[in-house]
Amino acid sequence: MRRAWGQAWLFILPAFVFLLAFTHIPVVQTLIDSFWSTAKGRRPARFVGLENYAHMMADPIFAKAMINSAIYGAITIPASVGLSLVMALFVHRRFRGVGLMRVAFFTPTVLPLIAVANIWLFFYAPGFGLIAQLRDLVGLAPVNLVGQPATALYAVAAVTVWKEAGFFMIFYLAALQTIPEPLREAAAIEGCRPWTFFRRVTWPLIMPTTLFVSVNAVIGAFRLVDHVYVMTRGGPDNASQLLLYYIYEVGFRFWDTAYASALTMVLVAILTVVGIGQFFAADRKVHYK
Amino acid sequence: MIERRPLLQAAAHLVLIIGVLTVAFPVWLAIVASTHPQSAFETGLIPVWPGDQALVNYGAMFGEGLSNLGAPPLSGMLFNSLVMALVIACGKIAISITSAFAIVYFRFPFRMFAFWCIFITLMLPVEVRILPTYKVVADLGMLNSYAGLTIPLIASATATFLFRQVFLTIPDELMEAARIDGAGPLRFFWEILIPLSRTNIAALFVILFIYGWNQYLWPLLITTDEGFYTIVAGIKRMAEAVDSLPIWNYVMAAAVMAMVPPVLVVVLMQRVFVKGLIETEK
Repeated sequence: MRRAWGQAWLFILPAFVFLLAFTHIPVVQTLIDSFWSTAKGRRPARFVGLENYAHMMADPIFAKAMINSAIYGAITIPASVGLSLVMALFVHRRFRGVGLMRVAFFTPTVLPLIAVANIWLFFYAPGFGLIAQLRDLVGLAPVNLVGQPATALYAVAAVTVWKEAGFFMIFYLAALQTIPEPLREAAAIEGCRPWTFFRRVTWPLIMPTTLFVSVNAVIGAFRLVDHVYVMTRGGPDNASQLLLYYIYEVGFRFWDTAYASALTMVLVAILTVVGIGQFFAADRKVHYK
Repeated sequence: MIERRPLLQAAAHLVLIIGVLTVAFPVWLAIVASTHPQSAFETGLIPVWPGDQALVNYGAMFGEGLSNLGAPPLSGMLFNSLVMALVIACGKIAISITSAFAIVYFRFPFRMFAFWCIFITLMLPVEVRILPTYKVVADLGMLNSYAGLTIPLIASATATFLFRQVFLTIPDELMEAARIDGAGPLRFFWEILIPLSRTNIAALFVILFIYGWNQYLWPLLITTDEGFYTIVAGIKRMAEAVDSLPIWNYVMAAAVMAMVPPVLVVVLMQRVFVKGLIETEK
């Protein structure tokens, strides 16, 4: 059966056709489009070379979106990964009600981000939401957390962390359960403190999972912008503008598809670098065991 | 913990309870908000305990929706979401299990080429290629259709990658034995591989169902006809109205209904889900 070429291609064909039609060809087309201008009315697209990219370099909103994406990543990646590990360590042990707690921690992950965003908006609502009421209780002046430039990005990032941590926890939980019990017993006999055990045994053993989870967190930091549509729409004054949201605005609100294509290529380039990193991470994981 | 230290245990439990509250409290508030009349939100105080308008609110949302705000009844949107999630989950599993089978068990020309063509797309989730994919779908005339909602999302490599990992852990001897006993590739696939990867298929189904259900940007762009709105995209259209009048009770009722199916799937399949994940991690 190893040489049945026809059959092999038949098995692979559906995946191949779908990917070609909806991924490969469109992405190549985008690369080509990014060197052309946007067709407007009767004026057809013309070849402009690197003009779209030159425009990007001079575009202050693009710069703002890149900086914001970097801040957004710098907050959400370590926070969600760290939090997920802490949560996994807590619910890894056996005690009454642990199943319930696992489900509770995991729940935010399965909720649609849009529904979640509405709940948080309700939370943040000025003069009315829960946070506003808490501030009122301790005598602080009311603030609009999603409505002022200084805090909008952080308000959005908090929702991402809240949502992502539970998903990564599942992977850490799975990794923790593969650590052999004799190691724990041996450490106990040697009089090893829990912290030392974690630092010297657990942490190195779950390193492959940490790599896998962090790469996913990086991709997530560029990908998860659903709640921006509901909470801030990139505002106020582009304070929470993120790269993917900007692509959406340029492409589907201003219909400048050529410029959006160039922006898309930047995002594809970033994710390709991350993707290569992921392959190395996966590779290391194999060699580790 | 190696020794039992009551103070530490108490502290640990306290942290856990605070954690659960942080996670669960927003959801609780959403449920509570959906059971109050609209007037409850005009006083400026958030209700913390359920009200008595649950039947009225949910009845209104299921019956007529908020037609003046461009939101159709919930039942139709829930049906669309269900179709979308099921087609995406089943479609992805079907095409990725067959392609993983071809890549792992056959040696054929351009095998590595096919492998890389599929795996390069790991880096291109639908959000990233949304602009070009939208153009293709529009050119094919698939806007406002179930095909447009689902087919472009079926194409992705993640599931193929997972099945490849699973198949690599299945011992070669099984295939040899099957061949000696005269089983062809198809028979081996149906009677050995599929039963052996049942848990993984189930775990993947849970993840993919949730993935399909939670899709937001794609349905929002693809559907302009109310008949094809999914619930997640519908919420967004309702939420736009909240700026002018506090219909939080209706928005939260829709949000709660959008959250029930994915939670239900996870709770019902929790055991098999976690088991499947642990096995692929090995």
